[in-house]
Amino acid sequence: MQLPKEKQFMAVNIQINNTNDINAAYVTWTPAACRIRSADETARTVVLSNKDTTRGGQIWFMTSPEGTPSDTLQIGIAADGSFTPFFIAGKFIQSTRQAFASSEDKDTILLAVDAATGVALGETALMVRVRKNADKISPHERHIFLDALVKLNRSGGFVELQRMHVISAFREIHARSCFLPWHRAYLLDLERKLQAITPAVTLPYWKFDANARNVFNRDFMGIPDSTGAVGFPDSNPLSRWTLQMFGFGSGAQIRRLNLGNLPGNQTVNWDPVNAPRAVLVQNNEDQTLNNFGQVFSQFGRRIEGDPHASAHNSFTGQITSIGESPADPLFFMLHCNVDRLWAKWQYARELFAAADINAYPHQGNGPRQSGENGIGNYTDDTMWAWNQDGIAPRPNFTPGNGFPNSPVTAEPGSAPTVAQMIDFQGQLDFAKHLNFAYDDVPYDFQ
Amino acid sequence: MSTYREYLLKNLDAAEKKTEKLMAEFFDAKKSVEARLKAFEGNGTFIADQDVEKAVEILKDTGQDVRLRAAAAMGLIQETATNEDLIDYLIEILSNPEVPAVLKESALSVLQASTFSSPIFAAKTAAYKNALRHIVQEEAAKSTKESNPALKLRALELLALDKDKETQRILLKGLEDGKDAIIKPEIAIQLLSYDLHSDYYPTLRKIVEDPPNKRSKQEALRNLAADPESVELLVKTLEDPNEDKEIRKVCAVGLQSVDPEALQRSAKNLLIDPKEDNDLRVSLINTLAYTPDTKIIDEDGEFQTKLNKLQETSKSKKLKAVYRTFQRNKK
Repeated sequence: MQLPKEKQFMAVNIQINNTNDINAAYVTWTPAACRIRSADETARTVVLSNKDTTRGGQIWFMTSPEGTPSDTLQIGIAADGSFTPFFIAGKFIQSTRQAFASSEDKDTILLAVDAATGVALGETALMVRVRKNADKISPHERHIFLDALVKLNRSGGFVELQRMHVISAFREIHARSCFLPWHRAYLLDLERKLQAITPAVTLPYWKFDANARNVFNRDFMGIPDSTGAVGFPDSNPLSRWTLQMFGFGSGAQIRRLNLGNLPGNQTVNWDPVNAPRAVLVQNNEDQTLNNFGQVFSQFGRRIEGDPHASAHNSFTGQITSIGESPADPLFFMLHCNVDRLWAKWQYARELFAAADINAYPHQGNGPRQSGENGIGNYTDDTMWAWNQDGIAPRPNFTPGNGFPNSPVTAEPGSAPTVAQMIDFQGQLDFAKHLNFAYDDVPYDFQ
Repeated sequence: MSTYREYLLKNLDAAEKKTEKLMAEFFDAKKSVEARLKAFEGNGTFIADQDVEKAVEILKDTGQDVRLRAAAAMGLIQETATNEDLIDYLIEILSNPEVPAVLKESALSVLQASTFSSPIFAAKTAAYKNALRHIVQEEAAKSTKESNPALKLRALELLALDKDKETQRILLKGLEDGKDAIIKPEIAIQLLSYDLHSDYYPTLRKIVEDPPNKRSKQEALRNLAADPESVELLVKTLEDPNEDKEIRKVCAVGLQSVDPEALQRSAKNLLIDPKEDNDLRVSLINTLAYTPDTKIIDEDGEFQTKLNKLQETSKSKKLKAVYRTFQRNKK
């Protein structure tokens, strides 16, 4: 294998996710298979570590995916150029709840030094790429997300996603158990499309049970004027956001008036800058995780009502309508938080196995009928529309050309199943991870 | 158990105790209405069977303070996934002119949320839409002093989002003749844009020519962005130095959709016009930065040189920033 030019001075070749492809140098909290070999025909013992422990994303090292992670790893490499495997993962200290995610592309440098001499032998850059709270992300993280969204929209790639979430798809994707797995896939579809434009992008989540003053401003999701039209300054890429579904589902701009009624009160123009939460959301994060039951059949149904539907309906405008809501980019940040809550609930209750009916109630394949006991709602069913199955009772149209690939993982393939969405971090089999994670949902090492 | 999981479960345990306490306070008839409503703000939705039962009782008890009934309705949002009678009751509330607005608005919130989450709601859609139409008619018939504009707007918006033909007809009629308008023209245009038909374009073009206000003109032009017959109008308005700046910007974005080549031709003239407004220049460059194909500009070396010189000599940080974005996006 030919080393890239910039690495040819190195005495070692380090591969993240077992490849020299720089587009695959992205990790989450899940162990990532890596390897190192001598590039100068010299056998050595090397020490692997983070080059800079004061800034950038930080990683942990293991000799096996089940191993105990540590800040450094000492391993031997052979003179014959054969690879020595090792594993890395984004550093998440559970006891202090500190997560060391990257904030810029390739801001994590994996350094290899000679254990005997301390001489640097080589290094490689990567990113600890995880989804973060939209209210806390940096202006740079915000900009690359919005910029990629607008570019995707302008290239025509966003309209396919809108067409997957129209009202005629309701019975396939909402009000039944697959609501959560389907939307997990839907978010990942968008995220991978954005990463194909700008690899460092992740979907931020809008934590709707908390104040989000940094989300609802002109630099991010915009502020509506008195008519409800959301405005953006020229410095915000969303100022060039135009909806591509004329005469089909959406108008020319985002409408999102902060109009909703507080409990026991009449409709008010609530102020998202100072409000403690979205006006209609009643269950906070702890209540969602705790009160919604110990099994998915209860949790999935309850979260869809509140906080999910309540967050949608804390406004007027596209976001309040199933078929139009993806026209507003806030939709994806809202759903990202719903997905995070599911991920955290799964983590708290250790419900990672798709074959466990407490993790997901319908096992196997569903019969070709609609509703809770129908196709698309069982673990082994592939999900519309990625599977291109337009046969009734599924919607008779199939936007897109299957699920997008990732340079990092072959999972979940072009036609994901419900089951593939359950253990998204590969907690039970790290090789099955989907290469996304949240900044407050760790990976458990054995 | 992992330390993080242990921490998480401990927190959840504490949250459960707090929720239980607040829930008990909400149901405590000895407490003041204010105290019960305060407790409701933090008690989450009604999930346990006994709590659901008590909340439904409060909702249906017309002798209760209407604010408590409204709160009870809100807390039953998850119950609409299985309780058909509850949905029927909430729809009745919407249609009943005797019901105070505070309860009606809660019912509206719960029902609209249910359209996202209830597997049994589809059968109630027709009745729900009728109730929304009823609200619009009722509110439109009231005097300005008596009407509830927020309730009317919410109902109108939901019907417009649903592409309700009768609502579209009413909105269009109001645009054609102001005395029939039930809502401001600029909002009417925005609501019609949820399902933009080509037969609206003549009305929108008339508004551009003879606008009832500046904002309506802006909205009309924005929504002509899908109309090839309006390219000339968009170009003319964009190039008019006497036109309002925000309106000109809307035309640029509109042209980007309907005729990106026309946008580039206009932009080339406007960007190097020394008399032109800097904000408009910033906006134009930003629009071009997100235009996938800028062939006309890319092939004009002389213009590119002038544009580069413009940004080099400009003192505007905004202009320099959008120029950088433009150059970056071209790569």
